[in-house]
Amino acid sequence: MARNKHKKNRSGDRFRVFQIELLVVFAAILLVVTAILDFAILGLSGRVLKRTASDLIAANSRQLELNINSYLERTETLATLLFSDETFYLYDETDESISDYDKIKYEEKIRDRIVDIGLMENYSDFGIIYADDHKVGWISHGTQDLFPEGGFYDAFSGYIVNHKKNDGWCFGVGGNTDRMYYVKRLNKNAILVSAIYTRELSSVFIYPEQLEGMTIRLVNQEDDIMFSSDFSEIGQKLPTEIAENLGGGNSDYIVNSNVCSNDWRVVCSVPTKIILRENIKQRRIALLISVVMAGIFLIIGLLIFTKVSRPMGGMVDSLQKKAEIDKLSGVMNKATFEESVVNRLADPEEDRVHVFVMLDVDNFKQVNDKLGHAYGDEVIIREGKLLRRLHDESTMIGRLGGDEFALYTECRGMEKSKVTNAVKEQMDKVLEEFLKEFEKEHEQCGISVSAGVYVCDKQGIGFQELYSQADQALYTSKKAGKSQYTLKEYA
Amino acid sequence: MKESKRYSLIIILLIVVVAVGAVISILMLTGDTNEGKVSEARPAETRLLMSWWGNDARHLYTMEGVDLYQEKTPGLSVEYRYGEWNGYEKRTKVWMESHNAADVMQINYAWLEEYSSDGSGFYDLNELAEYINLDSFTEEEKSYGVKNGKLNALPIAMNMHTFYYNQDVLDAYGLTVPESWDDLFDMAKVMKKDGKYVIGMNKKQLFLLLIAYYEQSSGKSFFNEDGSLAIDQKGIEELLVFYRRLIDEGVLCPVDRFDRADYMSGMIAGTMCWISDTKIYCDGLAETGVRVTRGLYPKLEGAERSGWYVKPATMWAINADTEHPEEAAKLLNDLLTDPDMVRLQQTEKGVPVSDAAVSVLMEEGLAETNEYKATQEMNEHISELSLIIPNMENEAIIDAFKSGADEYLFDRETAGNSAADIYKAVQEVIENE
Repeated sequence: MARNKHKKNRSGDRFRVFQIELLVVFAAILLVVTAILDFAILGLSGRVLKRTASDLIAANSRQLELNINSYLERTETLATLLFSDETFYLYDETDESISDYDKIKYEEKIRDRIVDIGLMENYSDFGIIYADDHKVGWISHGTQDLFPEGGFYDAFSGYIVNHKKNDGWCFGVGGNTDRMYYVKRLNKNAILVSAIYTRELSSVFIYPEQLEGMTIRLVNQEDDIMFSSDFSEIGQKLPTEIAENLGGGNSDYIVNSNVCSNDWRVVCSVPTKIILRENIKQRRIALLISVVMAGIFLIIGLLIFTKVSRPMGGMVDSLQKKAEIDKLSGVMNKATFEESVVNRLADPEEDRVHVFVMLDVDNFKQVNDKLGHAYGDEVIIREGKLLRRLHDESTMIGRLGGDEFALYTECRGMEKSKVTNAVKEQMDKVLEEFLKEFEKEHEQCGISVSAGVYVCDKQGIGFQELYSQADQALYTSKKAGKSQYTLKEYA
Repeated sequence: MKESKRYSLIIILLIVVVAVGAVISILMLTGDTNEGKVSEARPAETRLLMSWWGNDARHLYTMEGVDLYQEKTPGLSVEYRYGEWNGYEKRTKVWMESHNAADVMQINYAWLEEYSSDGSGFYDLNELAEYINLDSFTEEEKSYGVKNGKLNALPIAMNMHTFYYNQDVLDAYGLTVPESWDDLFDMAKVMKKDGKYVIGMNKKQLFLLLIAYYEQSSGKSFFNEDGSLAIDQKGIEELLVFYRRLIDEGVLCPVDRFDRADYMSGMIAGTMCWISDTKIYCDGLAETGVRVTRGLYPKLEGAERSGWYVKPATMWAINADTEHPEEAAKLLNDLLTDPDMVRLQQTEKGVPVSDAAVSVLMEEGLAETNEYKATQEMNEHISELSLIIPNMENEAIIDAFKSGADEYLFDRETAGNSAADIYKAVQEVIENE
């Protein structure tokens, strides 16, 4: 019977575990499904975001190309203003037929013209270099220092690559990277050299939309970076990962390139991770929300489990309890009492003293005969109440049948002699209280109570032995005249 | 009972986890939204325009310094106008007369008189004192920028001429640094046979060199304090003769043929320049391995006047019409006193006068620089020096002098006629101002 009870408990636990497992599985499924849906939607939005950013970069790049074209064309146009008067472009300083005085006057005129043309421009250089390296106009010390041994004219002449317009743009002259030059031939012995600081292009490369993380570069045909919004890159080669993705984008960069009027290129690039940063952040949030939702689901599930499943369990427990309780006396029925005592005895605790008491109402038959069976039942009810009142929760009380009751308790950590004394006191009290409770019935029918007590500290003792010993003691009490108890101790 | 407790614990733990998760989610969703922005419209900015003249080095470090300042000052955008000195006065005239000048301007000392003789041409910096560290300047230093009681500009450094000689060239001829005008002619006698000149300089320095000679030799001033001509036609004629002698005897390289490259190569032994040009003419040469020696101001024995002048090297001023005086003042203060800017500038404009700038540079070895040594020498002779008269730097006057002198130098006119032409042309320039 006890084994059955254990089986029942284990199956109940397994059912609860199953219920929780079910909740967890559902929460996990919810988490996965929500996450998949979120990621699918965000993946789509990421692709849209990337495409939109790519379009925006392309638009910016195109705008910047137009800006730089406009800037280059302006420089070229200003240079052509030297062709407004033959003096400016035909003057040949190397012509020995021109007197020194005339040379001074020509050059003063040219100098004035240069000042007029460049009046509102931020040039680092704007001047004419003649075949003998003589210079007129603004030729900076920075440029002069590039050729400490001379050779300006020949060097800059070499950069004239457009033979129709007789001009050319160049960068990195003599290793210099802080400016870019425009060179135009004026006559067979004179070239115009103008230069602007690459830093100056910051004002050219302004665009209305600020795309975070975008690097704007101006590169020449050799992929030398002439300008970069990251100044530290100026003078270096275009990074391979950018150069390999011109006009498109790999997984790491979105790159766009536009060719300028002089074949230089504006290259804009943005690390993809920056474009998708918001999307990645949203993915994290979505994942978090999924986890939170799953958590909420789990909590709600557990709450339902607690509020619904547990009370139902309580109802079942209550029904079970009803089956275990003797309806009349309100104490355990015989089977339950026995099972409970057996369970308690199964506890491996060694240091304990068992107390088993058998109680039987003397002359109970007189009550049934004189006062009726209903009254007899009433006596049983009252006796059950009395016993429950006189004993605490740790004492098991059972009705074994008819007017026979049994008590079982155990005392831990106490010597048997002390237990025996306590039991005696308790039994005196039980007998005394019984007579008080049933004083009228005692007078009418002579009822009293007899008890057999068995006190035992034997380990591993079984129910039957306890029962048998106590029953023998009860028999002794009955035989000795009733309304008394007999205490037997395990020797 | 135990099982019930365990379930309660699990539920409490789950509630805590979910609550923490929810809070984090909310924080992430409502957190710094700017961080997540991929693109945004360029924010509105206060736009300042600043202008300066100078050489390569100045352009580059000024742009770098101002870019640094912009990084430190969100919402401010500074645009530049810059160029070489040659022609820059014309640009300034266009800007000033058209009321289109930059908010913050590097100005020449002479322009205070030209554009703000009554003090109204530039912003009164005293009104912006809360944004400018004026305590970094002595009263005397500030007084250079005062016009009609208004503080129109603050000096960056004090400047005067200095001479640098290529010691290797001098040694090659067994010469020492000249101290007098006669020394210059004696040196030329030795060097001329090799086609080398003793000194070379630009036309502005030449004009000031000739003024110095005139004042030493005549004992009179070239200009009166009010900028009018003190010299007469006869004086100009004598000066033209001296000028021609300098060229003919090989002392001076003709200004039109003066090329820094010839000075660097040793074809010209020495040069006269502003202390603030030391980097170009002294350090540049020294970097090529040549020994450079600072020269003295040529003197005429028994002269009553030194003929040499001192001036604020360059000054910072604020446009009287600026719409952003506060921002302009803060930028001006940065240019004069900010440690980052001072470190970039070093002594390119000469030894700064601002105490704040000097203290920064002293930590970086200012005392060892050629500019500092030249300035120390200037200070030793300060009692002999006068504050420059603005017309001494007037480009139109200098051009008129050179143009007239060329007529004489190339035998197209007599010294007398050229002097008459110069006198007349200069008078016209002065009267038209």
